Amino acid sequence: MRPYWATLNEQDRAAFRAVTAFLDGRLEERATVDWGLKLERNDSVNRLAILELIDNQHERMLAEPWRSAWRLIEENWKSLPVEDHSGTGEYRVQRRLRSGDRSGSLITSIVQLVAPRLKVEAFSDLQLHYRKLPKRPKSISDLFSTGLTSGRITDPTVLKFSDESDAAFLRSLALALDSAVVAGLEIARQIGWDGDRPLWRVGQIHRVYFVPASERADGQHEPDEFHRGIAPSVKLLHAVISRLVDLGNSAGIEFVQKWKVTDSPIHQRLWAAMSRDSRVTSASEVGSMLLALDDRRFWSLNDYPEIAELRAKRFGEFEASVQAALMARIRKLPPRS
Amino acid sequence: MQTYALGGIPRPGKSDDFSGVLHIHGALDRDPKRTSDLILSDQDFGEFYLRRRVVPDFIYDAARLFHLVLVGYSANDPPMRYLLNAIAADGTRFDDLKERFTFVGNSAPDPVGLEDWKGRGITPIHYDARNRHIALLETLERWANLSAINGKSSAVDAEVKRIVRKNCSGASDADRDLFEHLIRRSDSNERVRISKFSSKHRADISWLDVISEITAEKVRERH
Repeated sequence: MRPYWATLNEQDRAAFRAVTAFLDGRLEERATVDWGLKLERNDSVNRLAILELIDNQHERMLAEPWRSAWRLIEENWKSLPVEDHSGTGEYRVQRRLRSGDRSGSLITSIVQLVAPRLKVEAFSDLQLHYRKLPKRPKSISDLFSTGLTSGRITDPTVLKFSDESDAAFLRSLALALDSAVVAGLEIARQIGWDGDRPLWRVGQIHRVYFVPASERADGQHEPDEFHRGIAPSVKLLHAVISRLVDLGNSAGIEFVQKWKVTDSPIHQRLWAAMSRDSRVTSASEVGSMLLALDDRRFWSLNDYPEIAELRAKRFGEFEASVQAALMARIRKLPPRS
Repeated sequence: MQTYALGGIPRPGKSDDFSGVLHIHGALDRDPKRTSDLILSDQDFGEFYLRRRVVPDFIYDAARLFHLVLVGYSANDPPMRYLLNAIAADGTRFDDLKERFTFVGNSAPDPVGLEDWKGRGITPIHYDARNRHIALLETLERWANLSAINGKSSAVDAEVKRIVRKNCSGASDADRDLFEHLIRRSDSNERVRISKFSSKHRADISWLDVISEITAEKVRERH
């Protein structure tokens, strides 16, 4: 691999040497980690000096949790910056869509608006007020806080997906968004999410679909208006698949079928949200799925609200035996534990 | 220590050869049989300041390369006074002229005297002249020890070690300035050495920011 300093000019190379000399042997210190967390995108020399030291620990490897901590910081440095909070990004995309642009570059720009990214940051003063940090950190959570972040949620009506009729473009966009969601869940796993709980680890998400203003009370915000993390990409993915279904394109149904067997709460919620539509999933398939749910998925309105909505919306379409079984379970009430 | 006088004075430059005692008004030769060039009379001043311009050219060059510091010299003789005034005036046109300083020793700061120096484009540094100017003597000795040209590297190391015992924000302004100066005047190898030395002595990481910022500066001054 090409050495990190090889890309630097003479002056930066001199700075790189000085910084490396200072930091050598000091990566297993909290102060150094805090210093690394504060480095900005334009602190490239300092960042490269750290990467050089991580990769070239000649005498010994960094011990845990330091090694994982620095790798997470490295991943954070490499992730693309979040779109600014002005919300102008979606209007730039809208303008490109209007002009007929359906390029791969546009798909990348749309995904970048909403894609979840790793966020690592030093503990806030408030966090430190309630928590005494151990002298000898045992896990990454003893060193800094981690989470998912992203741009803000995108209103599908701004992007005018309802007018989009290019199924191939929508399919490519759905694939890219689905990959972004999967990547986000993978990042969440790296920072302590067990793949199921707690769901806040992936960033809060009250609904996996965008709730338009017409379906909200006056002055009420979209349920995930202020949530960052997995929510924006999931909502946009839902909107794209919905449009594919509206166009009668089989790719939309294929996505939903895949979600049904994907082992992640987000994908199961996406399946439930899409299955409220009888064009997507048959009543018998929904009924069988509902009967097979464990208690948490069946009852938890916080973690799986779309499943409760699906049950309520499609209940009248189920066979009598399925209805009876569901009613019996509901009458029995949720378990106390 | 090497000494030079009048015509023998080397041209100002950044090389190590330009050091020692330079007698710009001349010095008596150690051999009494030899004649010596000296500036003593009005005619001598006219010869070396105006006709041959030896002294003005030297002072002009030195003022562009180094910070001139007057020690025990009022610079009130007319030729030098005019010369320094001319350099001060040039400061508005040439950005490579360095700031000039003078040590002013008395029992209490004299505001009028200090303003007079400033008016001549020279920054006065007041010190307490008690005990036969001991404060000035100690400063110059410390200065010599830390000199980049012929100072003692052990003295530099001792200062660095002392300064980095505190973190950057807890250090005094003087210590921060000295640390910055030691980094700024160094070449890249010396910076790496000081950086490593500081870290070895458990310097707080805030000192790394100082090193990092200085090495990122576009223009580097070594003296």
